[in-house]
Amino acid sequence: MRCTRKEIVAILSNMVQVVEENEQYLNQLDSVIGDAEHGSNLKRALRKALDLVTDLPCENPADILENFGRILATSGCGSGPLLYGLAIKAFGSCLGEKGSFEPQNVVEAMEAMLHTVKEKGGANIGDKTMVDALEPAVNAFKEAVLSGHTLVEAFDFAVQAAEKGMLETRNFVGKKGRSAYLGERGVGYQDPGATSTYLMLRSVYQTLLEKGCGNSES
Amino acid sequence: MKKAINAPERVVVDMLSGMAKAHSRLIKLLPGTQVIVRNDAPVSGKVAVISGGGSGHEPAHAGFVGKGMLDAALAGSVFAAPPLEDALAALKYCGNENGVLFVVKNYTGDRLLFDMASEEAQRMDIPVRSVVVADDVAIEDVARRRGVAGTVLVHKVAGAMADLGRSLDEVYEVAHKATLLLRTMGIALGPCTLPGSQSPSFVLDKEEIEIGIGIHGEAGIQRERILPARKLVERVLEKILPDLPFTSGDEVAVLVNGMGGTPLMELYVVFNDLEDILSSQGIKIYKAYIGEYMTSLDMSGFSITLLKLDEQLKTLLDHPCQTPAWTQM
Repeated sequence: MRCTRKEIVAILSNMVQVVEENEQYLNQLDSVIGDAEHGSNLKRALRKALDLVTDLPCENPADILENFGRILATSGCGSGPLLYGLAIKAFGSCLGEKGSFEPQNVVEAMEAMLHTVKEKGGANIGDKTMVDALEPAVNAFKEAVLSGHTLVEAFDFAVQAAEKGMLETRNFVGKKGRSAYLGERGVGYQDPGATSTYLMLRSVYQTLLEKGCGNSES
Repeated sequence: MKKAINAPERVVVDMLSGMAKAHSRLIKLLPGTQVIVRNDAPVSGKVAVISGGGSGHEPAHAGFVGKGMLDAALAGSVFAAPPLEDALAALKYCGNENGVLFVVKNYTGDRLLFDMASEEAQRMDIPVRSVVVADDVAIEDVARRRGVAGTVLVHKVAGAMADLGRSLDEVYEVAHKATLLLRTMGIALGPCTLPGSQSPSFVLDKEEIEIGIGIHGEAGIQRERILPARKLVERVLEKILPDLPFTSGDEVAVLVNGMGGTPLMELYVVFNDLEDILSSQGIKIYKAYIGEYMTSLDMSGFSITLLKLDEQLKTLLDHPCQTPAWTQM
């Protein structure tokens, strides 16, 4: 099971496009509980990382992901791009060590990503952060792979779990990040970080589905 | 929303370029970055004090770069932590064997950034320590308190200590001491609007105010009716004074900080009541700073900061500094 440079770049560029399309929506979610910049900062940093990474003479998909994450983490403003960058970097570097996109390897890479976000950001499930979408997604993905589903099918489960987790953030009192300062007043509002996590995972799934990437024995 | 800008995405670079040109005898912009450093940087033989954060808080942070205060200030996009690559650029440019003190406001993005930068500094063999400012008493949980306007007083004392040629540990200790003696609380009379945004950060009715705001346009901890300045000051002091506590006989520095859209006239009205209440309680104001130090774009409102002083802190506040926004002769 392989994934080419072209496919990885397509995944990343669709992901960037989704955030661009949802820039104002994410800003607006952020304006309620944060400071209205989540969409814009993430968009700017993702676009820069994509532009720089496509200029790199790099063919290995894991390396492309690792570089994309590194650039995102170092050149972006705010905790969103930094955490996503570190997460994607961890994902790429784990896959690089494994050497292929076998579903079991992707599970480990997803877990490495989640571990990085939780360790660096210090948030746990229920804190009204991106972890609320990411952790259920990673768990659902793992469960699906363990029960024999394909990569694309497992991503479908992951996206559904991320969406559920994202919607649940409406019930939470923020514990980390800027939503924490609103306390009870933030209840009822959806977390922008969990939302961008869901949107990006959904975009990855849709690209995998369209391209048939990871399913072909090429 | 009307703004005197060229394009939202150019606001920070245009502003930094303007600041560097306007104050070229004091500061300069590191090429290819959003880092403002002292005009004479890198300065050898002293600890470098580096701070920074999102933009939109002007004159913080770049306005406090200069001899006697900051060696470098990092500027992120509006209200978002600066990029890690800029922190590394500042470290490389200003850091030396004397070490670097990071002055960090207690916000997730800033903490994360300076933690990562500290890890990198170790790899670069630059001794580094970080002091975290969490002066906002609006938040009950001490660990979650935000770093707000009082941060500039930490810049001042840390910068003075570094200017005296003291060691990294000594600079850290005095900065840390200041953070322990520092309390701030803010009130918004109106929201701010980010460049490029069509709507303000929150909406207040004509009579409403937000109590306990941060410095990023985020709403406060509660919403109340507008009161006379005297009552607003009492409202703030009833949180600040018992928190340390500040008591009769204490000497303090006070900072009445405008949030960006409040006339100096009102800040002096606020200070007038503040002075009156403090002196009636036997708390002596050693130094008063009134004006815009740590703003939130065009937000209207103010914050009040008290720093309890000892002889060392007094000396450090009185130590000369020369920066675009703060000059002490």
